[in-house]
Amino acid sequence: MIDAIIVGSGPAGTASALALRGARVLVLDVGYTAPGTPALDGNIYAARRQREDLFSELIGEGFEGLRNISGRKISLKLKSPFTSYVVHNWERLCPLSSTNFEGVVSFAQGGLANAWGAGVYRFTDRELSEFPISASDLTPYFDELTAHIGVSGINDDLAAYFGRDLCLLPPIRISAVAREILAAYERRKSHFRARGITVGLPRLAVLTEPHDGRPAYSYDNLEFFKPYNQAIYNPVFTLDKLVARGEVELRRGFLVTRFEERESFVEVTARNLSLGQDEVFRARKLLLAAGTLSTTKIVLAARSDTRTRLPLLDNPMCCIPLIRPRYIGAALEVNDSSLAQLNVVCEDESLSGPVQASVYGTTGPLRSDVLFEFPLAISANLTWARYLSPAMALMMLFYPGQRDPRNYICLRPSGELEVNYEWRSPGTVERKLIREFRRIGCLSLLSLCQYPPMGASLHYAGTLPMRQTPGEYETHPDGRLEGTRNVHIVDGACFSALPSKNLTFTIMANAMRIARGLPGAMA
Amino acid sequence: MSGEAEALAREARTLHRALFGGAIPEEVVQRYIRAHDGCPAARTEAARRALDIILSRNLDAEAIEYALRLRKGDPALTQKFQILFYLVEVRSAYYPRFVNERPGAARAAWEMLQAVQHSLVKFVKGCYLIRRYHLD
Repeated sequence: MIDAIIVGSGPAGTASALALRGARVLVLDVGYTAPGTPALDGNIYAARRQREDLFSELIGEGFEGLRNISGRKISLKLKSPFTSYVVHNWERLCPLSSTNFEGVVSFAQGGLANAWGAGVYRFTDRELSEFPISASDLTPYFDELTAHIGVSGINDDLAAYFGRDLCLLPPIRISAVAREILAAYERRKSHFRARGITVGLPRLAVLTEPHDGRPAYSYDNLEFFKPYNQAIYNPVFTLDKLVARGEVELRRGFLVTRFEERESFVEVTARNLSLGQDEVFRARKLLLAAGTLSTTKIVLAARSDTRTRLPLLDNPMCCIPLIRPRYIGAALEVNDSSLAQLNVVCEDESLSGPVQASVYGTTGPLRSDVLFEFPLAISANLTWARYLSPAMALMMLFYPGQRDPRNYICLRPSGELEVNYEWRSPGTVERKLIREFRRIGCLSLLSLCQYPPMGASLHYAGTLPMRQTPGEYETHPDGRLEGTRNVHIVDGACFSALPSKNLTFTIMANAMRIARGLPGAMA
Repeated sequence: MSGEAEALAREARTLHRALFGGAIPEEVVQRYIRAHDGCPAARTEAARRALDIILSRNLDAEAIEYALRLRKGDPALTQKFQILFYLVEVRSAYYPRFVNERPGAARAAWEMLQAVQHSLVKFVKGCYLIRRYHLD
């Protein structure tokens, strides 16, 4: 008998497997992988200048890069020919019906972390206030993960929000625009702090020094086009090592559809996608780590429940363009990165918690991805984009996810997930940030802000929340699903709240905590 | 080459000449045709009719696209422009059009101002052409 089946190989599944290595662990996953790697070495802009044609690498023979022209738009990181595997086939394997939620599900090995921004942020006690656990419960796992994956950053003003970390690698090199913003903030820090705004460097799962056999980041700007950059942490790296060492068994090509509890074990039904047949696996424990939406579907399907509406949390987003006028017409800084350059935290009385933003440069995607967002004739848009890009930064604002009875997820009898998510920005935080950043020479307008649809954040959580005394469709502090003996929820589905910071690192730490808490850690 | 493919090839050449000047690489023409398979909105009868009129009368496609985009959001003509822009952006010959390598604030400011003026002219012209030839 297998000790534990882990469903999914994303951050939660991989962290659980890492915690349980040595026990008899089977990871079941659909596990799509990249179709190869593009013939791109060195900096993307050097390649674009020197090589006559990069159609295969940047657009793709299947025209993957044009995906956003018609139909539903997806993250720019998910549509290039060598990264679109991250969302391959998801609409068939986990159909989702909604008029106001444009989420996606990943069936790739490593899950959505294949395309993440690599922001690693520890939830603090304030953010865990609705959880039945505290920051000190997670600290050992945060520390272990930091040592395992390598985190770059610095304990600056944001340490109050991100937690103090003593094992950080040096921070990444940031762009000239970001450096100027940070310097201007430092000069007027007391003004900003008095208004609840803190600016600092990001904490990233990006290596600035070689670590554990992986190289340092090389500022090649390939994040949108090249998968498995060894300098940017991907759960695939960990799981592949565990499998290679024989510490975990991974079976790809299996879509888990339901489970059933027996006296002392759990029976898991999974569709073998290559044979089109169901297969049954048995284990003492089941850890669901398929990602919030898929995990929720499996739980509802296991109970054949097509009536219950479960809560859902997502981070509403706003994109604020910032222009630093003195860089208009400058040469584009091509040896840059599309990683977060700065983080901004803004306290606002109207919200339950702080709002967090990441500031990005504009060198990552193709210009054609954004050209038609400008309000001029197309040749004029091209002129503006060419000269504005070096001066532009994009502030991606994440609001905390708010519980609202109108926001739900349920399973339809047809097997589709149905999601409703309603939200409208009060606009107060955007207004405040635009006003204060104008004081340090960054221009923007409220009318230039863009509001991606709900679901675009890819941060989904809270469908089966942890409670001290859980009710139906809630989980115990050890992740155990109420009404079961051996089924544990270890991904974002068990989060009791969703603050504005990226949840991936906390998902990993919590998954490790739950896995290590299993009887005798299984081993 | 089918009738539709021929029409798309002619369209690609005309749009390219209007937007970038000069001859379009034949590879881009073939990709432009194939790209329409995955872009049904750009292949509607209405889009085809509008393009037929634009091409046969040698109308200002950029002006019409701009006026339609501002008035109607995301018309089929915009999608055709988008396809063409993606296909040329990944070619080194077009790199300087997309990425600024020569610093020059005054030149940039002047060209940006000209671009605004160019847009105003195109908008007025586009509105006129749309009404004159019933393109909306």
